[in-house]
Amino acid sequence: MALVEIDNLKTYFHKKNSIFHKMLDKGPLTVRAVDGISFAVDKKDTFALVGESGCGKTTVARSVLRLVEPDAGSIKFKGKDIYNFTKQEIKEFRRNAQLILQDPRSSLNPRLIVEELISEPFYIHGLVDNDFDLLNRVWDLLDTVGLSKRFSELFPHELSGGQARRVGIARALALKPEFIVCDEPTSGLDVSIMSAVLNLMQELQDKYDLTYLWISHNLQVVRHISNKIGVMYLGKLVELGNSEKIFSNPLHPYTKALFSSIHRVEDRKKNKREILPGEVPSPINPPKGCSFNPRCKYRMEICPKKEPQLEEESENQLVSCWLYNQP
Amino acid sequence: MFNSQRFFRLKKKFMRIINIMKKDYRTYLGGSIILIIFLSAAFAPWIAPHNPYSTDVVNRLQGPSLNNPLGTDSVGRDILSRLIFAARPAVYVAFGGLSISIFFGLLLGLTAAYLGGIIDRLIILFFDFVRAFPPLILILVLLAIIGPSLISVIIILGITIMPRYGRVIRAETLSEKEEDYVESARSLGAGKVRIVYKHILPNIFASVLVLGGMDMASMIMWEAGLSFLGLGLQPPLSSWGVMLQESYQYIQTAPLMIVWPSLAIMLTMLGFSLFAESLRVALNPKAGQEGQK
Repeated sequence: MALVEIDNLKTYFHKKNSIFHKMLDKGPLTVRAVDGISFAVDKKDTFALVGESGCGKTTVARSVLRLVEPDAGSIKFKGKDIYNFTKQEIKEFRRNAQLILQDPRSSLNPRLIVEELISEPFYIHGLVDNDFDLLNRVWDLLDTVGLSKRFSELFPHELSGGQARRVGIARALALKPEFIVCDEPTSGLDVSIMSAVLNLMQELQDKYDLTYLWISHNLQVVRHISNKIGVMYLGKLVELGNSEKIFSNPLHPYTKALFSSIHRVEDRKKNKREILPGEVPSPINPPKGCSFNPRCKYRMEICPKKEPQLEEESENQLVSCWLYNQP
Repeated sequence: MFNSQRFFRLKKKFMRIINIMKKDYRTYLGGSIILIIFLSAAFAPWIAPHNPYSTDVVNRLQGPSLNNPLGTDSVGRDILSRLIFAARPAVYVAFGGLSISIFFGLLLGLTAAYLGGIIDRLIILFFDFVRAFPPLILILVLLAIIGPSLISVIIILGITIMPRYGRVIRAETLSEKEEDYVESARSLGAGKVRIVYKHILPNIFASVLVLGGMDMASMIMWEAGLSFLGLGLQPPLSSWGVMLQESYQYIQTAPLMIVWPSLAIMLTMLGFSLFAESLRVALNPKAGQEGQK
């Protein structure tokens, strides 16, 4: 059984209507951040969600952790719907599922020292009977993420980006979770630091049997770390499946364009890069039919009329595109 | 409790703040002014050279002399003694009024911002309701209901000034609660009370300190205005505000007379502002490093 199952998740943000908007009579403003997404993350997997900025990746991450209320669909953690949890189960869930946020430093409270930051999860979950051994636990965690004891007395602004990221990881690891949502954990880091952090996270995964939901737009990182990926466009999954397979043979036109943007040594001369025309349409008013159709160079007659569904094209590779699906 | 890690950590943080404040001249300047005011308020009967209420009409409106270091007022009372005695209502009003407005401002502002929705609307409505009246009218009405006394002045000033704090705190909380670290605490399972108390409050407290330092003086001035209208302190009790109003009439015959209470009010405000500023700097985690002021 999959650890996390997401079924037809829809998270909309409802904007308040201004008086001008009402006068123009355009109906309610709804940002369809996530519009019907289904996937499952198995235990010990690294599932990567990729896509451009604003395609709803982070909203999926936040919905999975019960930080925003979805409009429809269900998210199951170990077979139970997280939005039907009892108070006790929520507490349990908060221990089992953790979040690593995008900005390493701003996810740490600037007025708390590292020791307080890392020991906070223990206090929240009442795991401190006597706090004599708390400092030792903090030191152990710092050691796990490769920081020395002296860091426990520093404030977040005294840390470098990489160190702050490691503190964030230590904080997420404190409660021995099974599932960690990593929202762009490598953004804002130097390439050398990034690889060190990536290696650390892979080591931790092996050591503690962690499951990652990895949100990123850095495709090289995703290729390196994930074994399953989902490609998102405008709140929908356009391609889903085994990471190796999708990277070697992307099917959806959007995936192709996205992957052509990866820098490779061999094609420096041959300019194979595919530039998509136009820009991402507004999620307030997504195009009819396939949401990618206005920018797609393979557009067919059916594309603006009917929306394709995610269907299995080959083993472990699902795609939603009329080029492959039969209408 | 006192040898636990938590206590040890608190002590370490506290010592850090003290150490930073020790290096700041504002701590000493502000602190000594505050100390002088507190001491004169506490030990007024022992410090004051004369009885502040005994009149001596023959020696009225005198300039400074050995017997009366700051001169005498319109009925020959010693100005220095009156100034020292008047430190008491000043301290009561400034501290009592400010404590009330900061406490309720924090309570309502944090609640409004954090809970949002209808509660936020109601609290904002209440703030606007209080602010909609000219403060003097509101104070007059409330005093007429409760009856004039020092305590009612303190309470009413506290309530009247409170929306200032409430609004600032609400606005700061609204922006602070969208910060990543709040989200991170939520995902760890921290409850609302913990987030507000442990994460948001320390980060918004700086603005409260700055506002408080400035409002110290306006509290004293408000009390002066009310006493002038006969709604605050009842004669023969004196306050700096009352003295200011009295000496106003004699500004041409005894111009020095108005200087002393003004100086006292100014110094009080200066002392509290300096001390609040030094505390604010020390509370900032980035303080105490090179290149940081």
